[in-house]
Amino acid sequence: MTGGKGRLVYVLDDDEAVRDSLCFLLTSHGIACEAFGSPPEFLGGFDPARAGCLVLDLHMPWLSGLEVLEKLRSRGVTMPVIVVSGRRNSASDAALLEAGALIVLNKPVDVGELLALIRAAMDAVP
Amino acid sequence: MIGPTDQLFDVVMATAVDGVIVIDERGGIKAYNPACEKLFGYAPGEVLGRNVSMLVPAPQRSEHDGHISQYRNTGEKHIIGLSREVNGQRKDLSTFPMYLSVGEGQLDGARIFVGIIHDLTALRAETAQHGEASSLLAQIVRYSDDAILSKTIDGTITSWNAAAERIFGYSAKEAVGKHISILIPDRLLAEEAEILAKLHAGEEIRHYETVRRRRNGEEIFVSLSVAPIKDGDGHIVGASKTVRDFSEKRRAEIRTRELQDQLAHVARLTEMGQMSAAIAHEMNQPLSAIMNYVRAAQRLLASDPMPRQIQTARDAMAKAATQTGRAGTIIRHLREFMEKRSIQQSPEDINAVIEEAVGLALVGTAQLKIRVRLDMDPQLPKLRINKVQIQQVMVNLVRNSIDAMAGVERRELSLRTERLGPDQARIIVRDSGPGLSPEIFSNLFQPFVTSKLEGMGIGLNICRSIVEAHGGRIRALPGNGSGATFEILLPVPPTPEDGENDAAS
Ligand SMILES: Nc1ncnc2c1ncn2[C@@H]1O[C@H](COP(=O)(O)OP(=O)(O)OP(=O)(O)O)[C@@H](O)[C@H]1O
Ligand SMILES: [Mg+2]
Repeated sequence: MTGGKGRLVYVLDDDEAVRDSLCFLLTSHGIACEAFGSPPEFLGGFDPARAGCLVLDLHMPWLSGLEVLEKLRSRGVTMPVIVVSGRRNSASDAALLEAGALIVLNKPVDVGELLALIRAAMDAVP
Repeated sequence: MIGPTDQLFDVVMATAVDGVIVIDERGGIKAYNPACEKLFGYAPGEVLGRNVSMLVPAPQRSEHDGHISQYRNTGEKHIIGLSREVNGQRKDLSTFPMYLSVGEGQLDGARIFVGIIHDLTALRAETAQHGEASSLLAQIVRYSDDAILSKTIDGTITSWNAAAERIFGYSAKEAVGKHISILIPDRLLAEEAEILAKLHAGEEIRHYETVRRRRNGEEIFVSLSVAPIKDGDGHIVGASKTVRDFSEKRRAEIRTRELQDQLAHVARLTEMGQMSAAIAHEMNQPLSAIMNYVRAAQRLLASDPMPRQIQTARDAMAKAATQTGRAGTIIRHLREFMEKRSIQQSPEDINAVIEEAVGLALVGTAQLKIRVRLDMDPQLPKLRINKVQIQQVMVNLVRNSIDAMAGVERRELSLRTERLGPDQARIIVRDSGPGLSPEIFSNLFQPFVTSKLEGMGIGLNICRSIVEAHGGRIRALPGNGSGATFEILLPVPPTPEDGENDAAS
């Protein structure tokens, strides 16, 4: 199964309850995850070798989700990124997809959909 | 002639900047240098041995032939030894001005003519530009919206443009020769002395805002720019003055400021909209968390949980409960915010309130070319309303209409007020957009119902709360396929003074 590869799902969200609950959920489904509360912590702390997938909140102080995504891509990190946003619009969706996001989801997310996407993303990573 | 001279000839021909052309008595071209190639566009092979008339535009050709044969026959030098401006014709048949000088010589016992051709195209263009520039300048002065006038150093007016006539009411004939003080209100005469002093010091005066006097005595706000006029030796001999009448601009500024003040009021609506967006986002966080915790607990308890899993599920439920508390707090804050908003009401002319609001809502939509029809009942009595709130309602409705009409060809917005029975006034807002879609119609006034990408779906909900707080009602009328129509009913307050009015008239 997915967890067997030793890969992690990274969760980046500035809201403590959201990221904690998401980790709860993923763990309850046997998916290993690690959560970060701010872009700098994440960018400095994640391990590219174990990166399975990133669930990224779009609206954060300091660095937006889009900027995090762009930074990752410019560093050559190719892990699949699922963006979650409470305030979507077509322009920001387009920019995110352009920057290489796998998909943009509405917040609150449909749990089943999110899990399926995470599994698919992790399996896709070689 | 031998070698070295031939070589020298070749070099001279090749190097000459001007065109050099040699013809025989009959006009046959015998030499044609590279400068000529550039000027006329013919290669030497195309012209050597042919008649020079091919380089002359048709209208002058016969004249030119005439000159040569006349000279040949009579020895009368018409063009020989003289220089003049003529036109040349290029291979592509276009013509260009050139300065041609022709000299006569002898070669092998026959006469030859040597023509030196200097291209005048650039020079002509330049002179034309000068001419244009000065007439352009004259036109600018003539058609300027600003008064442009000049005066001598002692203040006698020496020129006066059309705008000056319009702004000050004196014709050029009346003004020229008069003293500049005819334009200055008596109490400001000292100002002119100051201006003159600055001018003497060689200073310019830019956008000096002051008051001037028209012929009919009316005073106007103006902005003056004054620059010294100097003679060839640099002595100041006068001044040129540009006067901009900004009485109208001033009025417009005052009006804009008034509008901005009102907008600040109505902006509370936007504040409200932003507030709702922020709240929606805020609510999203605990809702997301609750959803995740609950789903996690469900999962953990799904099949024969182990004690450790049950404990984790319990933790998840406790955390979910905390998040519902967080959501509740957000809603309480919102309610407090709403309640704090003042709802003072006072008697207002509803027609004026609506007209103002419509003006505000239309700000920045000029390019949409929306036709607005106002059909206001002047008999309507004053209504007891909170003006800002009712304007918010109108701005909301009009904004929705503008949004709706963005994609249609014909954009018409009509607003109507009328009395409906003794105790009600009715406001109708109608647009020529696509109308209300059936899916939305049934819960149009519910919060967060929207068909717009950027919409919050809160506008009509706010409209309804406001109208109902006024004891009124708002509804959408089922359209007959053309556009959307909203109807607002507001109570008309009882008027005990009615009797008195009757008595007075
Ligand atoms: N004049 C109109 N013509 C057509 N549809 C309209 C009109 N007015 C409202 N609607 C529909 O009703 C929906 C709700 O309008 P409402 O003003 O409540 O929210 P909104 O305009 O979408 O967003 P906002 O919160 O920014 O006002 C709109 O999204 C639109 O679909
Ligand atoms: Mg709206």
